Amino acid sequence: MATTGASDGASAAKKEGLVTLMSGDGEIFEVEAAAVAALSVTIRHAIEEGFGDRPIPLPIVGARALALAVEYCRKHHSLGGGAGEDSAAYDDELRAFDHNLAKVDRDTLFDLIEAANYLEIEGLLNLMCRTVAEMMKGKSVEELRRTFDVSNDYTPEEEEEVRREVSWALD
Amino acid sequence: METEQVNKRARSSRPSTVERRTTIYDLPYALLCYIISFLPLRDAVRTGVLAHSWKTIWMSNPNWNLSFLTFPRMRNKKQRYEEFVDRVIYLHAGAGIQSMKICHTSYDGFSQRAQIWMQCLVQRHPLRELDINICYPVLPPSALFYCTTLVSLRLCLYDLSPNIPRKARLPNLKYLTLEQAVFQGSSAFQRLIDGCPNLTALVLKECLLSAENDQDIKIYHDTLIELSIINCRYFPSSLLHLTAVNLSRFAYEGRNLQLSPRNMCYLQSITFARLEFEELVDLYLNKMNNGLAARYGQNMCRLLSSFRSARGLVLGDWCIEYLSMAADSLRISPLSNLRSLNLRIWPNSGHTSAAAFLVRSCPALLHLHITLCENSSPGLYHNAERQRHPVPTDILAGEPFNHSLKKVEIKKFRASGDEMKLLQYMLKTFLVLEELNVKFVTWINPPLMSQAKKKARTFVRASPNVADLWKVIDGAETTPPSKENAEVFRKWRIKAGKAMFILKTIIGEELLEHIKETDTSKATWDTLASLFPKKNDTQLQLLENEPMTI
Repeated sequence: MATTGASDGASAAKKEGLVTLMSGDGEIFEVEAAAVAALSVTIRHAIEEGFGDRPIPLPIVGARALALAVEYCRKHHSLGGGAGEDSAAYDDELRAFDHNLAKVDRDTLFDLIEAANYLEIEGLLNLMCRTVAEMMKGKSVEELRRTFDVSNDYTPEEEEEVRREVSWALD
Repeated sequence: METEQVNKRARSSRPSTVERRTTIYDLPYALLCYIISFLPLRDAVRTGVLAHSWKTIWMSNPNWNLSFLTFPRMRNKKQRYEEFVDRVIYLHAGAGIQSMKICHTSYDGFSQRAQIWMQCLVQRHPLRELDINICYPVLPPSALFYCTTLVSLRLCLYDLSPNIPRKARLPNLKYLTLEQAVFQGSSAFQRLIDGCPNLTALVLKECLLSAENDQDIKIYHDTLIELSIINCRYFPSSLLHLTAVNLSRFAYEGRNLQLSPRNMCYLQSITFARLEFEELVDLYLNKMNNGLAARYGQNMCRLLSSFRSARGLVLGDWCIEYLSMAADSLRISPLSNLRSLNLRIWPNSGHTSAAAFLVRSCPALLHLHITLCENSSPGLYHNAERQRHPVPTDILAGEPFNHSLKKVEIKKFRASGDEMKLLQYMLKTFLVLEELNVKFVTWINPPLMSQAKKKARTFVRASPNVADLWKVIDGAETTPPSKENAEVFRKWRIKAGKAMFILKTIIGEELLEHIKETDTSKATWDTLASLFPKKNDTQLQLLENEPMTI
């Protein structure tokens, strides 16, 4: 985990301090600056630029996704950074936490991907994208369209053509 | 998920029920590409059929692993595979391919596609990693040797001699693997690595490294950290001129390696070395007659002496064979930094004596692993066949000395005479041993196996300092004495260590995994006892009696 080195700039300035985040729909979150700044590049930069006292506006992140993302940062900051004897136990706990987090419903999943992308939380983004990929694996074209609400805008002739090109991947 | 833990103060006047719904369409294109990059090839390609906007997403993946073998089976597979690679390379829809791995096992060379693939990859893409194995001699285009973005390159040339341009330059290349390449003389090869100023790892596998007019192999490089030479071919008289001041890991497999004496000093920076020589038995028997084998032995001593800062060393069975040939002039300077030694030996007196000699030369050794080889060298393997070898020194004779070794592992133990001697030598020499783990061969038939185990048991009973061991196992001395009394504590450690060994040797393999975790001999015993329910008295009786026979 990149907690130690990466958060130096932020945590040195505002040790044990809180930082206020404002979600896109106007909800206010007060969170530990160190934990969030350690994992989210966006917030680290915002704090470094002196946003520490004012709420940091996160226009495209919804409250629900932000709450989950903050939870993720806290968990990974408190468990992931601590190497040493208990690191194996911590790893298990983190894995269980990630596993649970990946079980959110589909809409929250995409919200969370957007949030993680905006906040630049690499671990969370990776986790969520893998989850989506896992959902796509082994599904037929029709199943994929149904699962992800993709409307087919090919004309029948076009679709025939596309399908022929990659016929080996379809059966 | 535990959102109540987040201190939130709803300050908004807007009700949060009007939240918009995010769908997969709201994700940025780059994120979709990222998601699809996690999918296996077929699943990724299938997404192209979903809708217009999905058609090219899978083609923007920057990392590809296209193996002909894992490509789906279909009619005309070769052609379809090649068309697919064409498509991936020429119709790429993203920011460029960064990593490409191609393994094409049925290329026929007619279409000349492979060259064009390579050409296009290095010229049109920000390629960082290229691993190309066409299973056909394909000359790499010269553009490949001017690629500024490449970091890792693996080329399989199938006995072609690559045309290295005079001004070849791969400024960012760090990892280079060349397989089955032929270098006509050392200058072309040297020109190639001279053009890679940041090279850190070099692997030469099955390459031909010397030519008739230029027999020596020269490798000069300043930044090289890791060098592996695997089964390369060169003239028997070729010397390796190795000048790499930063070299730290060195691996060699193949025929006897002769380093040019001038360059021996460059091995001093090596911290980990693996040497595994190979010989054809018939040729080797000839070499024994004309004295070449003894020279190999001295060469081996020189090589080992130059690994002065090595911390880990792996030696194959032929290295030990060479050493055993130099028995009368066996001399190496102490390897005082060596912590871990891994040997593969044959169970004869020459090899055990060479192994004991090596252990004596490594005063700071902590871990020793010995694997006993199976009989792969008729005419050399058994003591009776080694009449032409110098007479090895008896490892049990000579001054006893104290070695600080902590952990010994012996694999494929068969309890033959010389193996037992080696074991005896260890119990005599390694007084602070904490763990001695002996694993028997698994393939011998049960009667032989139990005979071997019985032999080991009898031996341990006969070896000195074992008589009072049973106290340690039995519970009388299970807790370590206080550390203040250093001498008593040390003795207890030795006893406990040996007791642990006895338990590990005499019980069956199937029980071993239960006691792997326990750390004192008492705990081992308790674990074993708990495995058998009380009512199964005969079984328990058996188990109790077995150690008693020591």
